[in-house]
Amino acid sequence: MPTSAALSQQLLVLTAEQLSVPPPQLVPDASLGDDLGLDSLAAIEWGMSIEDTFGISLPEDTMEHVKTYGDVEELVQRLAAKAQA
Amino acid sequence: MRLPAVPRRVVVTGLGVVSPAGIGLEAFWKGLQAPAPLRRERTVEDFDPSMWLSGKEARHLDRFTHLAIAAAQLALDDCGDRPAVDPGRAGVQLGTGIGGVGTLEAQVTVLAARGPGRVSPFTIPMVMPNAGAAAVSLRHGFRGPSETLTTACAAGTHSVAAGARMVADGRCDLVLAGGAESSMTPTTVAAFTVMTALSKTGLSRPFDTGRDGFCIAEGAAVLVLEERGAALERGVRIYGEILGAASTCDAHHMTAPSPDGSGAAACMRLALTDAELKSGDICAVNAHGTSTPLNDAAEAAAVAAVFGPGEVPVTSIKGVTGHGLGAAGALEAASVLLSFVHRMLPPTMGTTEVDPALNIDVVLEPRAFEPGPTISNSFGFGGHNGSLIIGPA
Repeated sequence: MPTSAALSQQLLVLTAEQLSVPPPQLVPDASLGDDLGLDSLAAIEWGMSIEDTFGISLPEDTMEHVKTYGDVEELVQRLAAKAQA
Repeated sequence: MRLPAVPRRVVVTGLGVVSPAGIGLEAFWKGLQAPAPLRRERTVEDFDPSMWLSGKEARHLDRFTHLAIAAAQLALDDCGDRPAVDPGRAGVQLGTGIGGVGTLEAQVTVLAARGPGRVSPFTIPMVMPNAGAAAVSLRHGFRGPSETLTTACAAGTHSVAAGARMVADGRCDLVLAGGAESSMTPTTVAAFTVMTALSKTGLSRPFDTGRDGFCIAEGAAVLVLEERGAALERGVRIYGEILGAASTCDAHHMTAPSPDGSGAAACMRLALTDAELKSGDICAVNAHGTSTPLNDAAEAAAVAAVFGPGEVPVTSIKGVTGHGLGAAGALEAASVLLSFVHRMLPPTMGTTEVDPALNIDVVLEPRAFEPGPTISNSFGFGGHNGSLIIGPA
């Protein structure tokens, strides 16, 4: 499993490519909808990539609880650590 | 239903073409006179989606929609200053034969390999046949009717006709009309092959003695249709006028045409009535001319019956373009309008020896042409017939 920093970097690269946004825009405060232009279908696709890349399973109600890129990063870190434990 | 007291005249002010014969009008027209390639599957090889779409858009749209967006953009760029129309009166009629079947086929393999949870959430909006029309409306903010007719290989012609009616009946002031197709997948090619529709030799040669099936192709073409008075007021170039159209069904067989061409003949006669023209007024036929034994024989019989044996020059561009299925009729309408510009009928490339059983005058070399009313035919599996009569400005 990647270290926490490596995971963050991997998530950044994956997200920049998948959402077609420049990496500097992927700051913790970036709003998923307003800043990153995420819609419901793109969110599902992004979620699949995250699950496949990090070997985790995102809860079905994830989108109800995450509002910013930082929220997603934190969730992925937490689930990856749990999977590793 | 409310109908206008006097139908409005409909003219073509812009053309956009993306075809194996060329992208853009200049390349396309030149391509129509180039030797027919020896290739059974004809892709638009130099099409680069990144010229028309962001990476994200391209990933979330099927290739047939990529081609549609490019053709629509080329057509709008070609129509002079963008006409100032109410977005609610701007429409799209974009036909396709099979829609986003390439995306569906790719997702079938995902389903088999990785299970239902990994099928792309974009599958349905990419596969649906109306995705092309929707994407064009979305991009240009057109809020009038946005529709997709799917009548197999007649869809392009039917869509231009339907788009013209939206202008003629006063519903729209501007319509982007045409067709788009990119459905050469391993499964569709295998399916067309086993039904013996595709050429074994890879040589498309409409009306030739040795014709042995069609060469499947992708492509898109879009026409900008406007009310004539508004176009004249704008002072823009008018390529021609949509004079009339018709649609019939053979009701004979799911894939084979009526051998005597009676369904096609009925369609052409109705189009003449719609255009208020007589058969003798027609100066040229842009044939469906697929290069299949059955289509070409039935179409030749129909043309001979309606216009008289050998009375009117007949050309098919499918020697070069291949058969773009739902895009074909729109590509051929563009070819008719370009034949007015260049005062020349493009030849039926690939054809060297016209089948003597066919009583028609097949254009084999570029032929000087005094622009006049021209009929363009399309026929689709299902027995769908479409004829469009286009006149010079």
